[in-house]
Amino acid sequence: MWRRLIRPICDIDMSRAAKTVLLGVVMLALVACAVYVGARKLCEGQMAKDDLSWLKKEFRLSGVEMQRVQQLHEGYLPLCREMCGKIAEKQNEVEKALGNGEAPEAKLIELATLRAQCQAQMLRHFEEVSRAMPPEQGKRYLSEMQRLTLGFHQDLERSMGEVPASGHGHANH
Amino acid sequence: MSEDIKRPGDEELGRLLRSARPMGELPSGFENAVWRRIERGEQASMGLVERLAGWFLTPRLATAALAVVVLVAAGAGAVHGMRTGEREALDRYVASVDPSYLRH
Repeated sequence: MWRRLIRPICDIDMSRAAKTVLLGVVMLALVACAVYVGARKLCEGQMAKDDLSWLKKEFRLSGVEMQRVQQLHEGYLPLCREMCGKIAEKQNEVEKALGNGEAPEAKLIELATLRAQCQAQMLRHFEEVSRAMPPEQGKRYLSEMQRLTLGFHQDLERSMGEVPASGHGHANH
Repeated sequence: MSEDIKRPGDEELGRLLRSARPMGELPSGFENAVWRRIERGEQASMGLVERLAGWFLTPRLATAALAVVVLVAAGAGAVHGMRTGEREALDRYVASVDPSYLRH
């Protein structure tokens, strides 16, 4: 395989010097690629070791603070999973109602209520975690989490409320 | 042929000329300097490919080039990896507390 690949290069009427340069450049490029990929993977792995490694680094948390945050995180995950299960179940009910040609209004309201409860629970968790951090970092954490989790929905709703040039915005409906 | 004919007084003239141009001693490293100049002249007549091949075949230069390539590649990989890793770590945390996050 390797020989078949390299033979066309060797058969080219090249001077010995040109072959040396080509071989040297190819070898340097291979080494550079291998080192680049290796260093990149190593650093990526170091940065994202577990779910909480970003918190520890970004908010420079001490061992004690990190322990408390971990407790809160582990306490929150089962509640989050339970809520996700309820939302998925309700979503199935809505789809089933739509499939049967029934009006799913009541189920949609229940689904929206569950989603709102889930968001409220998540915000409570963020507040608890922010209290486990030094005040300044806690404040920054809270605003960052609100921006990352609720900000997207707000941006989406805001964009839907705007009237585009075509005049087909949601506000017109 | 007439130049070969020795005339009276030629030997005396020769002695006088030799004494007027005394042979000085060569400075130290003269020969090395001459060889260096010859090598430089040879190198100047070489093409770019030949000169590059010469560098690749010089262990000192090849090792230095390899070291530079390794350092630059490792640095670039580390910087890129840290940036990507930071983003991945952030996504991982937010997705763990808000499962709908990655669908954004």
